[in-house]
Amino acid sequence: MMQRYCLIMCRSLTYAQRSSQVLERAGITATVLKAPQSVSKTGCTYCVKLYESRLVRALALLDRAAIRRGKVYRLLEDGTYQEVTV
Amino acid sequence: MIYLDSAATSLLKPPSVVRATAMAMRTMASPGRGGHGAAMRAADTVFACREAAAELFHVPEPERVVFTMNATHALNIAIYSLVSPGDPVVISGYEHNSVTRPLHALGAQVRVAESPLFEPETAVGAFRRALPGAKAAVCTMVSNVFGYLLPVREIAELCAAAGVPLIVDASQAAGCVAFDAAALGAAFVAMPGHKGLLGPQGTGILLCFAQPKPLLCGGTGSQSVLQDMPEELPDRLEAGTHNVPGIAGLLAGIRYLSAQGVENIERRERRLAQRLTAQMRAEPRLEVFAAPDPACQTAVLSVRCRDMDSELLAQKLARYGIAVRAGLHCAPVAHRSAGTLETGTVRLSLSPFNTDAEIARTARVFHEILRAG
Repeated sequence: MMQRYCLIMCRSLTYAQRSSQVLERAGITATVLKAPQSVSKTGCTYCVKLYESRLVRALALLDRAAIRRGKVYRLLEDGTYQEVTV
Repeated sequence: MIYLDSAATSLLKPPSVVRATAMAMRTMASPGRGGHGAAMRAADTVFACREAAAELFHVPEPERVVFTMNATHALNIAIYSLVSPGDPVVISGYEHNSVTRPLHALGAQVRVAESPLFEPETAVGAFRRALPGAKAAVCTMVSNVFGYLLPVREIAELCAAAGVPLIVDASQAAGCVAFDAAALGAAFVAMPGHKGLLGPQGTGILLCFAQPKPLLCGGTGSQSVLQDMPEELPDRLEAGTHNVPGIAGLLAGIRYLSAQGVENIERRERRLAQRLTAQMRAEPRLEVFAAPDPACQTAVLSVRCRDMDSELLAQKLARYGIAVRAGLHCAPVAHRSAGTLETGTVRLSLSPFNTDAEIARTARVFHEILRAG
């Protein structure tokens, strides 16, 4: 089964970098990307992309590191994004 | 040339700083804008520099490390964040124009906590008397004219007890004296990247422990639809394109310092400075502003000749290839405190790259100049 991706929206590039760092150190591959405009509610947002299977653990790690984050979106097969209720 | 003007800027840099700056110019675009490789390389470098600075100064979150153009820019952000027009503000008697001029522009009621040179206990007492009712306080860690290490920790405690936010000017301390910025309890700590941190000119750092007000508004590459500057650091204070080559060089400088150990650098510089001081004291025509307790002074030494103009002495030294700075050093308040406002001083300021041979040569040149009249 193909792995699905999620995007964790971040408040700034620096927060995205911190998030990626925390997750990577915990063994979760987390790539910093510019977020698609369709989900950038305030325009020009950075996000961290990771496998959905790692999401729950990733969010717990970010909470523990007191890193503020934005919404989470799941990438659907048709290329659109669906907000994930966390 | 024997470069003894490191308090102005560090001319001699580790080779890694030059390489990093050049590499950035060739390979790095603007961070926080595009998502392509060159932009992300820039982003990674800028983030790495925030982390390195956060580690060096014991700051828990790298986003509290804000990049500025220089210490003056950083101090202006801090001052405009805390001080409104007409507010009473306490400063030490050793502040630089980068503090006094913005306060003057704001029409602040400046209370100078006056104290004689190299008397830290008197300085603490002066702050204690001046603080009640103040809206903010500013204190330099090290005088750029005299190398005087002010008792900033004690002053910070007084400010905390009085509920007065403190701005610390670490321009002459960063990279020269080891300190824990977070433990100070200051609202802001400002420093240049191009002095003791050995980075390029055009860089500075503001460590933010209080919510700042933006001095510059513009693009941050984030939350672009919103017309207010972002609430979050560092974006709140970093409008416009970063000086990525400068920050890359600053990262290399901080890494060099961390590898060497700031305590080791401090020890080396102090040893050289004490040797220089002893040599200067041997010249009867020189008045040497040296601390009775060497622990109160960094590797910055001011002297003046009893019967030769300071600028003239500096010019003569320059002809021998010795680079110093004469005059008021953009710090008339400090000169007023030390009684040198009318004459200025010749300032000799060392770096980790000065040598014993250079100190010896400097002493010989002084002797030759002063003997010749």
